[in-house]
Amino acid sequence: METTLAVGKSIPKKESWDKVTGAAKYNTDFNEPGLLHAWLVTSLYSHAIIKSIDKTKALEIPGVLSVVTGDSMPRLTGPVLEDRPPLAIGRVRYFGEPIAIVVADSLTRAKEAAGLVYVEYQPLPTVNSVKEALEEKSLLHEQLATYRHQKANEIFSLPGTNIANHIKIRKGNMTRGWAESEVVVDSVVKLPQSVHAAMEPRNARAEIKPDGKVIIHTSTQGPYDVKKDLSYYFNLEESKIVVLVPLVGGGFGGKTTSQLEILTLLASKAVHGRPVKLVESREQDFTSSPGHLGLEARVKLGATREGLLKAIEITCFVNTGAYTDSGTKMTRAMAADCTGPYNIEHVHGDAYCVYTNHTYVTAFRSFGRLSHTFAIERAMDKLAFALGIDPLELRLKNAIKPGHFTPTAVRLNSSNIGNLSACLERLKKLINWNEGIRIVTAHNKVRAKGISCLWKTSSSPPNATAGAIITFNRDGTLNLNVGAVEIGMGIKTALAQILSEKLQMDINKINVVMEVNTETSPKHWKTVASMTGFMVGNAVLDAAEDVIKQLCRTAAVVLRCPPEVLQVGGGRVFMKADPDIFVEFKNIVCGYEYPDGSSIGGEIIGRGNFIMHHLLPMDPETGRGRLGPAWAVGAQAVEVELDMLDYNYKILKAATVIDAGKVLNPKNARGVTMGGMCMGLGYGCREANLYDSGGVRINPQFRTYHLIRFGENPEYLVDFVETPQVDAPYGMRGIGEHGIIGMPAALANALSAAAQVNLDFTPLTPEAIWQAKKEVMS
Amino acid sequence: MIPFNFEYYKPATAREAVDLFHTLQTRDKNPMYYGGGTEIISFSRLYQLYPKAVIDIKGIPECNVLEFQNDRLVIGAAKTLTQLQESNLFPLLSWCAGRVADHTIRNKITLGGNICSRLPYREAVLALLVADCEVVIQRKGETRTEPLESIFNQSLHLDTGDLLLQVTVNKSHTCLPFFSTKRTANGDVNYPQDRIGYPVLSTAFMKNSGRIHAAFSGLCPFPFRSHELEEVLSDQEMATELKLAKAVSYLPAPILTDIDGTAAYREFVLRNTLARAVEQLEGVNCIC
Amino acid sequence: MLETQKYVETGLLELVVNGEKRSVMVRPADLLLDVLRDQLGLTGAKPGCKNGDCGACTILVDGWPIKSCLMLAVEAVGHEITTVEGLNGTPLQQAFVSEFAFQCGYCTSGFIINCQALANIHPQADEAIIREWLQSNLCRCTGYEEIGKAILSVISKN
Ligand SMILES: Cc1cc2nc3c(=O)[nH]c(=O)nc-3n(C[C@H](O)[C@H](O)[C@H](O)COP(=O)(O)OP(=O)(O)OC[C@H]3O[C@@H](n4cnc5c(N)ncnc54)[C@H](O)[C@@H]3O)c2cc1C
Ligand code: FES
Ligand code: FES
Repeated sequence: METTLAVGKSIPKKESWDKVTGAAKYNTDFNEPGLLHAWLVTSLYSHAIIKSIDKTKALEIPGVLSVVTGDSMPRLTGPVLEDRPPLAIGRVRYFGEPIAIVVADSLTRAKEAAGLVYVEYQPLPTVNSVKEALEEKSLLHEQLATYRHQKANEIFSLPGTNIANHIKIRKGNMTRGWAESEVVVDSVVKLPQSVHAAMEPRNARAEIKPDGKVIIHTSTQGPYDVKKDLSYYFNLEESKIVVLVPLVGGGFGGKTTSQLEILTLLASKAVHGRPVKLVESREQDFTSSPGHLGLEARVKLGATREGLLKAIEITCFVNTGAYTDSGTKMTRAMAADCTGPYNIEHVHGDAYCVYTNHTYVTAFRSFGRLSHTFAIERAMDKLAFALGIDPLELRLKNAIKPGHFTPTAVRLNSSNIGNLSACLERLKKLINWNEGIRIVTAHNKVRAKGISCLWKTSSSPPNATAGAIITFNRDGTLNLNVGAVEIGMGIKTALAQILSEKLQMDINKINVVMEVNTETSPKHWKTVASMTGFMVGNAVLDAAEDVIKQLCRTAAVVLRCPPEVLQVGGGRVFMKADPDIFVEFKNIVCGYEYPDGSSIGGEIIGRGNFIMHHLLPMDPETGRGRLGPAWAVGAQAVEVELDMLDYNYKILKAATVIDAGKVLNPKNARGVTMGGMCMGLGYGCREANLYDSGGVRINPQFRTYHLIRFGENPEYLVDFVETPQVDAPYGMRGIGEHGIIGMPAALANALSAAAQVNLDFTPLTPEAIWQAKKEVMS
Repeated sequence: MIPFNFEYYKPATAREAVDLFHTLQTRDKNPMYYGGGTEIISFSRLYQLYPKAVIDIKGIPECNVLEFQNDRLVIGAAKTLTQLQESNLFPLLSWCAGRVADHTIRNKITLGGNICSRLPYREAVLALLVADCEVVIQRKGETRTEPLESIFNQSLHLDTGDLLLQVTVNKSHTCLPFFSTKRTANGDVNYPQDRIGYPVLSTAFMKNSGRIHAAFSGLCPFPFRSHELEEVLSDQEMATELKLAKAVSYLPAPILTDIDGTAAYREFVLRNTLARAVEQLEGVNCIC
Repeated sequence: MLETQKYVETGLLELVVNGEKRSVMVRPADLLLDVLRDQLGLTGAKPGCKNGDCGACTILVDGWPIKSCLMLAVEAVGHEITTVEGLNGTPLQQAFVSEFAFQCGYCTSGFIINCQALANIHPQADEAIIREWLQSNLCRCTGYEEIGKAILSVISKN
């Protein structure tokens, strides 16, 4: 497909000027008279029986209208496995778990009163690690067997244990695989839980109108899921629920499932439907709302002496915290991609989703691949070392290609897998790989490089859909309305680019509705999984086709020719054979008026939709199935400089090459990729949720939970390979998450090479490297 | 959002401030002097402080002085860390103060607030300790000047209602050779890595007539200067290895273990830092 | 002789914000950030942590960047407050747009205000100063490269 006008152009985000002038509105920026404020009372224990809750003192504060507790909603919730009470009922399972909501006429009162809600606890033993969970130090969910699954046969719980899901991958024949393996390495890694840390803390607002209509204003990536969930949990007709989402201040997966929406609705119910706003403090966002999973994994990897991978046995234990939310699905997703982007015939994989008394987890940029990739890529480096083969060559040799089969037995072709080898070759040049992995520079300093490959498919439900509606203004400009949320990835602009290209029309003449309103915007599954461009993009193309058809039909009458000889472009419909014969959009989009005033045509409204196709659930015994339509593959590298005396290090360079299919907006793609890289490096070098021996979170603030700051970022080297995905808009692949995936692994590989010690964990602080070094020396 | 209210006073003189403090005290207002307020606000937000009245000292002229007066540098307690840094009248202080928090916060944090902070770090104090500075204190009816070291033992010992007005430093001490470091959990701030965070170890060394002065923060649960340790460091005869071993035994409290680092790691960092300090200050004299 | 200023209960206060005199009803314990947002509708400054750690709430007080979550509204009396709404079509804002120096935009007001102060106060700032100043703000979406380009494009023109 020729692309010239908008696709492939660095068009600034449509909402740019709103964002640089402070005019852009996020959910908490709205205020109205009569709005009530809520504040959460949260658990001070990681595991305890709630003996009593005394609200008397709190209710005595003037202006306090209600203190809502778990008895107001005696049911469990969860997007996959229903295991979580929105407000604790009789027991808390993690530090920070919401216990009560105080509703008052001012935030000050609500907060003051929250301090006066007395909760009496009787502590229970804390399951403070995956190990303790597997040893069954304590059971978190005795009733696991009775919990409702939203879908049958999707996940497999082991009642009587702390295991919420067990996914198996069985491919090939392990006996043969090991027999063919001349060299085998065994590698164990351990990664902590972390937080999304979107700069906008999670928040929501709810109101129930006198006619029973529920209005939810929220900062979510999944407005239609919120609507579905509330309808289901509160037994309401979907037509009685409206979810509105303005610009969202960062999501990264943390705003995909319903939590505060349920709580604010409960709060509003308690005050006769009056509007209630709940904004989490940063501390609550970090401890009460879900975070990013932790992982402990073991990888056994076998290869021939020439370095051809033959067999892999991988066991992953996901620390899902106190409840599963998306933890079970991420467990499944990492199992599905469990070999990494390498061709391995014999695969034995087990992934377990394990309950602990830590904060529960939800989707996080890359849906588990970040952690899982760390396990694979550390093993690959160890294998390369054992074989005496260059780590990049080893990856090239085994890179997955068209014709190969994935762990879930999907046969690959160039459209659905892209070109990993090309990414590796490009990366090799970018990072100047041939210069050598480890170079001693002056003053006890060592410069070293590490690499990682990555791949990811999406894991949407097989029936996920997206829609698009195009309407026109009288001047011929148009409005695009979709259900995708603008969380910062520039999705609304990308969709406008797709539309602009398709209609060959100036992008400035396309207005995109920024907010999502579930009452008027066509449904989109949710803005996750790097799938929005693919799904909504296809819906937009479909809507554009519809518009073109209608435009040509009216224009054909006006221009007195069959519609087939007409073409659309530049805001006109014209004759292919003679573009000078045309009619402008503005003269036909609201009907065409003849000089005598009589009219034809009527208003043009375009509709388009898209539904996922050919996705298949995974077989419980072998894992065979197809979770997503295609993969995006890539290769990444990190270059560090380590001081061998004090183990301080600096991340000099970070490189990423992704097969993007087609880069829609180069500057934006680079930006989103660098953002992912920065986040991945942050996780690699310093981010971790820390718990004390009682499971209490001890770093719930940016003061103690450090992100990478300005100037600490490395020099970024970013490039793209373009192997089109044929069923995607202009061949593009979703790459929004991918920048993060291989960064911690590449960092660990670089630092392991530099320090000459295996670093199989994060965060890689100078102290941790010093400790690892000390252990091997003693 | 502070979940309770307090009264706010901004007196124009030091005497008024102190009188006000005592009056408010008798009215059970639990008053607090308010410098930058960064600590008062952030602690109050989390229910960790409950003043019913605050007395902003930023209107008091003496608290806003920053200049050489005769042979002393006089620094008002309400001067912000940024102002100290930008004026750079006392480079070691700029250095120590300039690593507290971040630049924007330093536009608000005052020297007095940092010295009187509840947090165990108080990094600006390090420079003041090694420079043998004096503090000017306003109490009811009198203004007193005392050597900082005489009333700084783990923290600044003020009587209730005492206001720290100024800090003064001998001019000749402001330009003595020094060496100063800060390491956070994520690396050394001199190294272009993370500058922001509480210290694993923050240090100030100064050399005066052949003798090394040394003060530390992050190592123990309070900042301190140790004369015994200085004795060892200054010993020309002793081998560095021995110096380090001895120095570590002169700490006033067991080394801290917290989320920023274990005691063992802090000791490792301390040894490296002491070795560097000795090396850097060897043979160096006045920098004026 | 100057007098003790005192604010003991909720009352009317006059603030100078973006060059305009504005009156607000505040408790002495009210934070400037909350007053700007809730009473004056100046929602450009954002709460990201309310603990002085993220910089999303940065505003200018007499030209210097300050985290408005750690400042009382009463402290602002007699000082000139500038919020991002007080900048309009500046070269810096243009640079943020053309460099794609934001994604979600939540940190943007804080960064822009801090950058603007930096460009005013240190028009010749070198890398070290830029870095020292801009480390006060967190951005979770970008990798900071674009923000660096945006500020450099303004500084290097000076
Ligand atoms: C984001 C952030 C990061 C930080 N990082 C660091 C760090 O890296 N290193 C470090 O050392 N500290 C750090 N701190 C702590 C900080 O140094 C102190 O909290 C701060 O110095 C308090 O200064 P202030 O002027 O705002 O004090 P205030 O909040 O005004 O007061 C603090 C205390 O001092 C008392 N006080 C203030 N002035 C006087 C006076 N003149 N006389 C008597 N008592 C007085 C007050 O009553 C109060 O008890 C950080 C703080 C923040 C907000
Ligand atoms: S909200 Fe003020 S610094 Fe984060
Ligand atoms: S653009 Fe989202 S936090 Fe900076």
